[in-house]
Amino acid sequence: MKIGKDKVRFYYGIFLTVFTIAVGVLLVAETASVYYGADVSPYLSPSLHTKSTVVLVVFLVWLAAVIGGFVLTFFFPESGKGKPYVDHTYTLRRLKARTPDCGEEDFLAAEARANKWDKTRLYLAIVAGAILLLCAAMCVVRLAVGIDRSGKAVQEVLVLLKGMLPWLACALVSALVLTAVDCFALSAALRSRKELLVLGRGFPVRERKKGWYENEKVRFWTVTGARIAVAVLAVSFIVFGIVNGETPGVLAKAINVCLECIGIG
Amino acid sequence: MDKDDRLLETEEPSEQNENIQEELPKDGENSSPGEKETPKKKGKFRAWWQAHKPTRRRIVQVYVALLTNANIKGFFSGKIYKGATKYVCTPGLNCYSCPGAVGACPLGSLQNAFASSNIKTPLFMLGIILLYGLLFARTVCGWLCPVGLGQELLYKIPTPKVKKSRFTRVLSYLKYVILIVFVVAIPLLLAGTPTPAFCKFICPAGTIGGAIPLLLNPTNANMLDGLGGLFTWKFIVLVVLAVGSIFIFRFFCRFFCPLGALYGFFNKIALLGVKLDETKCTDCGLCVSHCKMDIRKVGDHECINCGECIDVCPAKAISWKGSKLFLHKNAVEVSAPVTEQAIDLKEGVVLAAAATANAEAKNSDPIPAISVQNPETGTKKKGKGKAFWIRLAAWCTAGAVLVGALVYYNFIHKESKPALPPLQVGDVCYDFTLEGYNGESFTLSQHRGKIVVINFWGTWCGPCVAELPAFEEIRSEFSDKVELVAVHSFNLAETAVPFLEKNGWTAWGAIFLQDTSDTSNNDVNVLLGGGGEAYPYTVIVDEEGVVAFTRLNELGGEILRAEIEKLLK
Ligand code: SF4
Ligand code: SF4
Ligand code: SF4
Repeated sequence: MKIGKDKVRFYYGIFLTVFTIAVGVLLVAETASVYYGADVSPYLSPSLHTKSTVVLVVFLVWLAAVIGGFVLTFFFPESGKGKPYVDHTYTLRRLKARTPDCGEEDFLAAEARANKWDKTRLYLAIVAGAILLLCAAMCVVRLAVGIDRSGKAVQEVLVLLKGMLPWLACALVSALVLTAVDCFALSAALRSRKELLVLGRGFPVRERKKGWYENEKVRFWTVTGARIAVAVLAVSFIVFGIVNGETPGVLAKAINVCLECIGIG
Repeated sequence: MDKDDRLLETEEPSEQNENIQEELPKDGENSSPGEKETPKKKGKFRAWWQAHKPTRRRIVQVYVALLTNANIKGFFSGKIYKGATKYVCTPGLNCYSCPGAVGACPLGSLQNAFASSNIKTPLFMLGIILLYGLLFARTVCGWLCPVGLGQELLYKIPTPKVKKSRFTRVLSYLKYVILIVFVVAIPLLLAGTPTPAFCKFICPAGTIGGAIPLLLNPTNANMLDGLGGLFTWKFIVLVVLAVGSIFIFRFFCRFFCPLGALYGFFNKIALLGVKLDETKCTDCGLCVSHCKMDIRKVGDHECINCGECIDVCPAKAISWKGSKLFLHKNAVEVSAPVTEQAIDLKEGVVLAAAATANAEAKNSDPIPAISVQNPETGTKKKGKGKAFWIRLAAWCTAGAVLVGALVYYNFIHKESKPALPPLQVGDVCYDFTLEGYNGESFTLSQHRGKIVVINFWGTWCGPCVAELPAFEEIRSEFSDKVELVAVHSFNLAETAVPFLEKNGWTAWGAIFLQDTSDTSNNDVNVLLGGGGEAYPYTVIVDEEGVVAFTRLNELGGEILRAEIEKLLK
């Protein structure tokens, strides 16, 4: 019975993963077709475009870096329903920092293995970072040289996006490949790390120096002062806002639908 | 007993050690604590209920989602609620264009306030955010936000999960970029043309709560005209976020939500939430390991105050703020060894050992055996003490409030309805008289023989404000044949007049009017087929007084010119 359930979970998980990837590919294709199809609403005024282009480009570069970071994540199957979510890497790292050197061979070997895999992961991260930076740089270059200044603002943005899409795609693919490798390296590193902990004898506490800000009194008065300040600010802002007639603006927006704001047109 | 053994000591030391020896090699094989300790065989149903019953937090989440979306009838009528409770912002992300919503969205209102900051200061909304920040901070995320609830439910789908790491931690700063760029910078920079960029380009709550329920309702068929690039983009964003939430815990909250980012600033000083007693904390890191958010420390800006780490802390260092007043203090009891709670016995033993060692070394009074209350095996005293009655009273009051809200919004509150059926193209337009901003009035029938372009707009509506100058240009071009009437949705004197004066629109030949009613339906808008709530809406009435063209959504100068030229031929 139990195995049956687990199997269902397993296959369902696989199905969903494959399905998600398929949906993702479709969505990317769709987005690309929206960009390439030049189906942009005529409402977008030139001034709005010139202003938001700069913001958009910065945001896209960010997004490329961010997607890379995001896919480089630890990927482990959930061990079962009802079990607490535990990612021990953080704790293990901290404990490792406190584990004293010990002469046992096993311990040293485990440590070496763990360090080796940690290094591998570091190199992977550097490679990923380099590729992402290159892609970001190419996006910027595309931006600098590729704008068709004779065209309308809407067209400019489209040209920009068209130029950047291949580089964004390249960043995504390389990050995905690196993630797969990183996952393998991570599980190897973790295995050694656990071994290391089991082999370690005792976990002496490192005395931590307390900063001045950790003084109880300082903390209490900082928090209380901040609370009072925020409360005074909040109340005076609200009262001023009401007196200044800002509330009808809130209501006007809340009881009417701006079709653009909810993404219809 | 050597040091290692002492570290591993729990309530049942010998048995525990045996377990370690046996179980070490079998990585990932778990025995659930519930299964181990079932002294009495409870009924099947009881066992099922124990395993599946909702937590208190889940009940609060569902409760708040229902309460803030109590206008259920709106989902059937396709109309949003327009009553006075929309003056009040809900604490969580809850789109005000959702037919169920009975309050305003704090993030939407904030962007709107920034977008109209060239007319009015945005202090009221800043005050509201400060107030919610001071009271709740990210407790809103953990307990009160419907979007957070939705993501947690999606995450329950059993699949492999992407767990947190230093990369997700870096990624969690993306929401601050979104906050600065989309919520603050773009609306402020483009204050002339209201552009709530987060709502427009990202917000999944607007798509799932506002756009989709409205579009699905047949009464709003004319909204389908506007679908295009923007909707495609927003729909893609919604799907990506929803699918992402299946694999990644609170995908949207952790990486994208600017409201969560804003509330995060207040987490340290908020009156509600979890707090960490650093004198007790042994720095073992179990709490951080257990937490699914990208926290560095309990209660930092990423912590959503869900309280799930409270029972995990072996040193009882985490508790609710204000717990002496109205919440239980850290209720950890010595009942089951911590190893049983750990996902993997090997790690669990190591971690428990580490925690014990650290706790003993740090605190002079030795901590009792390191163990936490196991929710399934922990013994709780049952008795009808004072706390029971307080809790009962709280549940009853909450229930009564919810039922009251559901009854009020769905059965008592009525939107005013026009007596006449709404118009369509080809019908003779009803005559109407409306007041203008400088006291003059406008009667449609007095303008027979001219083409009258009636545009329903609002100062808060980006496309409305963007297209009106083009309309005015066309009007002045055909000034002897065309009349342009711009009907403002609400509160002309307070919201629109300062806008008109600021932008110099008072010099235009267009006539600015205000629709007949305020908080209920805008009657002329409804009569002319606009539905009374969606903007912009344009109607062209020909020389004979017949409705020749209507468009819900932005129209643009070129289409208007073409339509007018067609009529003039
Ligand atoms: S982060 Fe945003 S969406 Fe998530 S729970 Fe908080 S307010 Fe809601
Ligand atoms: S679990 Fe408790 S003792 Fe351990 S680090 Fe967290 S707060 Fe401190
Ligand atoms: S630190 Fe604790 S209260 Fe905060 S989000 Fe994590 S588990 Fe919840």
